[in-house]
Amino acid sequence: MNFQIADFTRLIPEFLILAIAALVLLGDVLTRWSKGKEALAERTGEAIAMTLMGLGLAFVMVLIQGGFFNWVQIGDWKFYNFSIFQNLRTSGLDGSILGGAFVVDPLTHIGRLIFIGAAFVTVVLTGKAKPSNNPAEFYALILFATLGMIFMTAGGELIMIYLGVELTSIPLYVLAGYFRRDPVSSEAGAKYYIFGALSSAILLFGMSLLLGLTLMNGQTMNATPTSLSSVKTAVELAFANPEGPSQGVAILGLLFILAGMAYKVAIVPFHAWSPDVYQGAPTSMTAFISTASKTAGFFLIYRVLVTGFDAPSIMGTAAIGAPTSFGGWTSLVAILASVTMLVGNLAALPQTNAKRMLAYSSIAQAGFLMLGLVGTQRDSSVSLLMYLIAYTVTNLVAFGILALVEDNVGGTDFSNLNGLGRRSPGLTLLLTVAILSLAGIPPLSGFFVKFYVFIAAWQEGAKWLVIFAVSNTVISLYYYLRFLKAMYFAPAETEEPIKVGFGPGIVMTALTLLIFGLGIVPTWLYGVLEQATIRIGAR
Amino acid sequence: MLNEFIKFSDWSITTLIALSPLVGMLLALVFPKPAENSRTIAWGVFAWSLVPLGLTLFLWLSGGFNPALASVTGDQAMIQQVDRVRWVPFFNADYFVGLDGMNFPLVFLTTALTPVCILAAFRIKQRQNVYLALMLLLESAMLGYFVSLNFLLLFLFWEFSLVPMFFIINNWGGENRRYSAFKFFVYTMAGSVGMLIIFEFIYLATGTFDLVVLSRLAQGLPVDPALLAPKLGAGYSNGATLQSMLFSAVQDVGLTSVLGNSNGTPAAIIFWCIFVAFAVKLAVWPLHTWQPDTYENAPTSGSMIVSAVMSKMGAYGMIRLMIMLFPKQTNHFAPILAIFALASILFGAYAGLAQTNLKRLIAYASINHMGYVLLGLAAAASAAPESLGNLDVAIRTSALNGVQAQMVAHGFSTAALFFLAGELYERTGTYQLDQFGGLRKVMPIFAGIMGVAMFANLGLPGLAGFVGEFFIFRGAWGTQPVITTIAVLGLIVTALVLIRMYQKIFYGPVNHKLTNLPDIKVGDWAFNVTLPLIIVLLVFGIYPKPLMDLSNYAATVMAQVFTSL
Repeated sequence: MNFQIADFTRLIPEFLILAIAALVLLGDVLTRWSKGKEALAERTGEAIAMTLMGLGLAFVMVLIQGGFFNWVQIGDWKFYNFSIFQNLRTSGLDGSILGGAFVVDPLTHIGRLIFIGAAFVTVVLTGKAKPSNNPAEFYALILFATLGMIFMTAGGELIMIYLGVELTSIPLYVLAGYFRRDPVSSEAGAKYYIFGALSSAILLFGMSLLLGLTLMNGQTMNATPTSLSSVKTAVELAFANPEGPSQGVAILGLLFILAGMAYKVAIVPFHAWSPDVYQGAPTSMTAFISTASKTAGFFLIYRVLVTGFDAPSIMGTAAIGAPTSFGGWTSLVAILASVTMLVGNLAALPQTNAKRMLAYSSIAQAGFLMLGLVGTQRDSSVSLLMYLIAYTVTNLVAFGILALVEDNVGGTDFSNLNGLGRRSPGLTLLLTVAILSLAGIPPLSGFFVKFYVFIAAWQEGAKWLVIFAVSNTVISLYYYLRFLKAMYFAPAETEEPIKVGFGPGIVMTALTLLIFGLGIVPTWLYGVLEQATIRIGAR
Repeated sequence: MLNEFIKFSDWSITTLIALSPLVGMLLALVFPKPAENSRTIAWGVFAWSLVPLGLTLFLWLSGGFNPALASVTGDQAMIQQVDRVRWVPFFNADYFVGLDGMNFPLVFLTTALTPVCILAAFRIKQRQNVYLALMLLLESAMLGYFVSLNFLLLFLFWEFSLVPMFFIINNWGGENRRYSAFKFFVYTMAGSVGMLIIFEFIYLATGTFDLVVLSRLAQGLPVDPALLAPKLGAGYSNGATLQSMLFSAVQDVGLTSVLGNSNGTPAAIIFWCIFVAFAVKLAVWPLHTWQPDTYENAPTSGSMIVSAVMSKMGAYGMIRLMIMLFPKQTNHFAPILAIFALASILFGAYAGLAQTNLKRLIAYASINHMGYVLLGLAAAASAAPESLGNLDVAIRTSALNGVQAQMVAHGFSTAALFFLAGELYERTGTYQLDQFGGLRKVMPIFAGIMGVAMFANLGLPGLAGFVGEFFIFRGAWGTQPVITTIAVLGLIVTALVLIRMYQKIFYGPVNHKLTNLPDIKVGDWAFNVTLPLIIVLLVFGIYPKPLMDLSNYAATVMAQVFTSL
């Protein structure tokens, strides 16, 4: 169980990101180091280029390691990849390294792809933002946050999970408040930091309770006491003996962990920070926080719940009525889900700022996402992961295009979007697709994933929740259509088109095509996701 | 079990018919842009659009599609030329397309009209290749919609057909194009929200999207339980119907305390949601207000295709989803549907009288004609009076056949009218009726062609429009005598509307500005566009049997469902 030299290869993407982050910081010192306008532009350009190359390389690496490339066989001929790829592949797949702290399973691979991809898009979107005094730190922080998200997803052990959460959060606090001169941005940073620190404390407290539980059960001879598998055994033991005090400890630990993570992913009633932060942060950062950070949080919640707490006695059921009664964490998740989508949707209705409205819409989306968490059957797990992917892609487009508009127009109020359809039809089309996908209109991916979580929750027995969620989609249509109203109906102040760089244009178009692709052929991710959930133990 | 009502064949070409326009679309887009006035791409697209038409005609004439074929069990029409491939396994959904008597006439209508519309689009100068590519995309979406036998697939095509039409209006339309395009989009979208939710619920309650299975369930016919997703629904047992499965799902959810304990309530709610979605598309009063704006502001060839084919998507949806899945509810609410139909017929006709704009006038006449379609559907589903006796099936069948004939005939005649309206605009620069006058002397051939189209549209015997209206009224007299009596008024007023239009354009004193208009010459472009339309109108007017044969068996089987209720 010790660290082996072979573990290095399994961690190549992480080392790569770390190295690139260090290089970005160092390289900044080595270039023309001045605060003149030209020098700043050059330094920004170099930092962006290096970050993008690093992320791209890491992405390809994960694709290879995760076995997403296969041998091509045509007739009797078998085309092999380069042998170096083969070595990376064999070492990349599977295994719990660092003494079980870092789990390399398909779920981790999927998480890596999502986070690295989202970071890539974010960096492309920041391209036109004004360079600050130290551009390199901005990009290095994005890389560190990405690294933290991978640790969150891959963490098989409580300390690693906590470190991952912190490594993600601390750079994001800084990034949210990056425009120091802008009071809204500073407020966003400070608010994010205070709420985040508090939630970390709550999370840590829950973890310490679980550690106490595993130690109390005295089965630490062969296993790390903080690993999720020890937690699982301890929880099962605690519930096997209902008379003892340990059952309460297990429930408390779970509650605290859930509460701490609910802060991170902005679930009602722990959501109050998110509209302010989303609105105040630089828009490209909002895109990153609302997608990658939230996805990482859900991956973490999913892994902890499914590997640590899947004993039927603590899981309970979200179904009302016979044969089993309402109870356990699934019912808690179901209640949180219903409250989250209702509050998110209702609060989104009166907003006048597009970014703030999308923040509330993200809260509502988190509510829909949790429909995939009300059980651990395979459909639930697969639908949750599929929803996360579709949500990430769609929200990246929505926030990304808002960022591009903001660069030109200087604001994200609905009045800034007026007449966008006349000014930039192409850009408006992309935003329209993203908005309709968020609203769940077929044939876009948003529809399929929403429907899939409905089916999954229905099969888990939470039928009341499905009906509630369906009625919520109707509410959400109203505010999503306000986007279209502003863009197509309202008169434009000028006819001047929005200037969009080549990179952001290409990336946004590609992601929009992905929204279509995930919608029309929703099956092509199914196999991969199913593998991931089988490996992790979904039934 | 499946093979009893689905006929797989070794060389099914349904998919080829429906999706081949997509290839043409790609070709039109990637083909290097020729010189300014070159028609290379336009002719290429036109030639490509003949492929689906050729395939459809081949199926029809060669007997590859046999409209009179019954299923093995004899309880429904055999669905032929089937392609059925697993598509989304976790939704138990297949890519499932096939032809029967209810969709084949519409497939023919679509494939036949698209080449004409593409030919009519030669007038478009600005980014012509993109426009033509959108036309092919639209054709594919509509064909896909008509041939889909899976609810999910059908819904995708339904929503997707909005996209090309939106751009056609938005980018190439008339004065108010952006407003009209958006109104068109939002109306259809808002109309289908109810259906979207309802269709999710139907799946959760039954575990299948398969329209054939669902309609068998709805009629209480036996269904192979293996076709239903296992974990969903209340579980299929012998004798379960769609209505009872929906009700038990509502019971499961605990909504009975809200909806009451009546077995039929959930199905009735779903019925109305579906009706609203398709009534918007069919432009049934009072959901028609998008339609005159859209028809007026779309470019000529866009108006042609949206009025001729797209509005039929609504009627087809009513047949496939409303009548086939909810026969009891349709039967129960048929009088209300008939009243809506009557309102469309009368308001469409009288509003047409007040129009000064040529395109809007044709649009209101279309509302009137689509009212007959809805009347035919309501008549086929209505409870029959005792006195009908044995005539019952025949009456309903003739109403359903009339609906199909009316849809095809109206498609051809309205397309011709819109094309000629567009040509008038090209020649005179206006759609205002009071700006014309005496044009018969200036353009005699033009007047002749428009006369045929107009009379076909108002249903003069001998032209195709008469056949549909005659059969619809024949059916409607039997089951809805009162409403039909009043609806006759609509027939007269529409005739008045159209004849008045014709008179204002072609008779009276010649407007002195318009004395030098070029007439249509035999063999020129405009003549070639209208010729096939006129020929079809004449042929089906004199000899409608081939057209009626297409739908007759399917209509008979459907009529029997209602007689046995």
